Amino acid sequence: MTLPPTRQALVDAAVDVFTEKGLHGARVTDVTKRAGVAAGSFYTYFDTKEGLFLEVVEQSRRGLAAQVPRARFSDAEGARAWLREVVRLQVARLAEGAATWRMINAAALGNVQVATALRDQPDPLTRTLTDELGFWAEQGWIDPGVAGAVVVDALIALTEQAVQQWCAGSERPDLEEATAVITGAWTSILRMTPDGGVR
Amino acid sequence: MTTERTPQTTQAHRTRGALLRAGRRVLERKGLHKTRVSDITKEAGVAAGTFYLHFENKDDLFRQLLITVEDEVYGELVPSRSGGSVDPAHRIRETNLLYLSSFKRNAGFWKSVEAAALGQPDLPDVLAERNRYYRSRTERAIARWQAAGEVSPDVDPATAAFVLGAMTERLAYIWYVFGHREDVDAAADDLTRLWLNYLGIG
Repeated sequence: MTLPPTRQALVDAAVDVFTEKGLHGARVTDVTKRAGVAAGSFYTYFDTKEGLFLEVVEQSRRGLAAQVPRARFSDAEGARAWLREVVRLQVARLAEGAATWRMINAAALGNVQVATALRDQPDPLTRTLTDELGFWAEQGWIDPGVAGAVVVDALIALTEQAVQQWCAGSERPDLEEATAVITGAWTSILRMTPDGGVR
Repeated sequence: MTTERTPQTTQAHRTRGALLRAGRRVLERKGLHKTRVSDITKEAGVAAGTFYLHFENKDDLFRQLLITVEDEVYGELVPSRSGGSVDPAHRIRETNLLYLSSFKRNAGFWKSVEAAALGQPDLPDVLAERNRYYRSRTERAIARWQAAGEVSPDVDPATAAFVLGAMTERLAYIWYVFGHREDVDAAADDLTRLWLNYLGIG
C-alpha cells in the first residue's frame, strides 16, 4: 500500500476545482471532496493551496513536454516536421485546456507570489525549444535575428494568444487549420523556408 | 454604441475627465467585476446621477478608457505625414515602440484589463471590438505594402494581422505585466525583427 495515489487524486481533482472556481475562490475542502479523500489528508501532501496549484501547473507543463518527441536532426527537413508536431501538440493542448489556461493566468495576475513561482518553475517545453533552436541556428537552418530566449518566448506567446482568441470566438478552431497557420508563423519568424533552408 | 450624450461645456468636459480618471483608479484597485458606478462617483467626488450624463454604464466608461489609453499609441500615428506610403520597417518599428512604451506606462491598467477578460465571460465583447478595430488597421497597412511590392505576395494580410497582433499583445504582457523588461528600445527592435521576419522583409 503506497500513499502517492492520494496525492495524485488531489492534483487531478484540483485541475477541475481551480478551473471552475479560480485559485482565490477554491477551498482545500472543495479539492478533498472532489478527490473523495478525507479533508485532513491534504496536509500530508501539501502545505498550502498554492503549493497544490503549482503542482498542477508543473504536471501540466511536464505532460505537454513528455509528448514532444526528443530528437536531434541530421537535416532541416526533419527539423521542420518536428516543429509542426510541436505546434500541433501545443495547439491541441491549449484548445482542450483553454479554461484551465485562463485560470492559471488569472491566478498569476491576482497573486504576485504565484506569478513569481510560475516564472521560476522549470518549463520543459521552453527548454527543449531553446535547445533545439540553438542547434538549428548553428546549423544555419534558421536565422531569426533575435536572441534565442526572445524568439522562444515569442513563439509560445503567439501560439497561446492565438488559440485563446480562437477559443473565445463562437467556433472551435479546426486543429489542422490552426496548426497550419501557427506552423507557418513559426517558420516565417524563424526565417526557415518551406524546403528547410534559410530565406 | 458609444454614448454621444456628453454636454459640450467646459465644466462637463472636466467632470467627464474626472470620472474617467476616477474610474481608472477604482478599476486598477478593485478589478472591473467588483467596481460599481457608485465607487466611481464617490472617488470622483460627484453626485451619483452625474455618471449617466456622461456614460451609458460601467462598460461604456471602460470602453472610453480603453480608447483613451490606446490613443496614446494610435493617436500619434493617425496623421498620414507624407500622405503616401511609409517604409514598412520604419512604420512597424515606430508603432511597436509606441505600443510597448504606452503598455509599460499603463501596465497597471492592462493588468486589470487582462484580469477582467480572464474572469468575466461577457467582457471580451468590449475588448474584441477594440481588437477587431486595430487588427483591421494592421491588415489594411499590410495590404497596402503588399500592393506596393514591399511585402511578399505569399502573406495573407488578415492572417498576418491576427498572428502578429496576438504575438505582440502577449509579449507585452510577458515583458511588462509578468516581468520587468526595462529596455523598451531593445524590446521594440526585437519585436520589429519578428514582424519583418513574418512579413518576409529584410
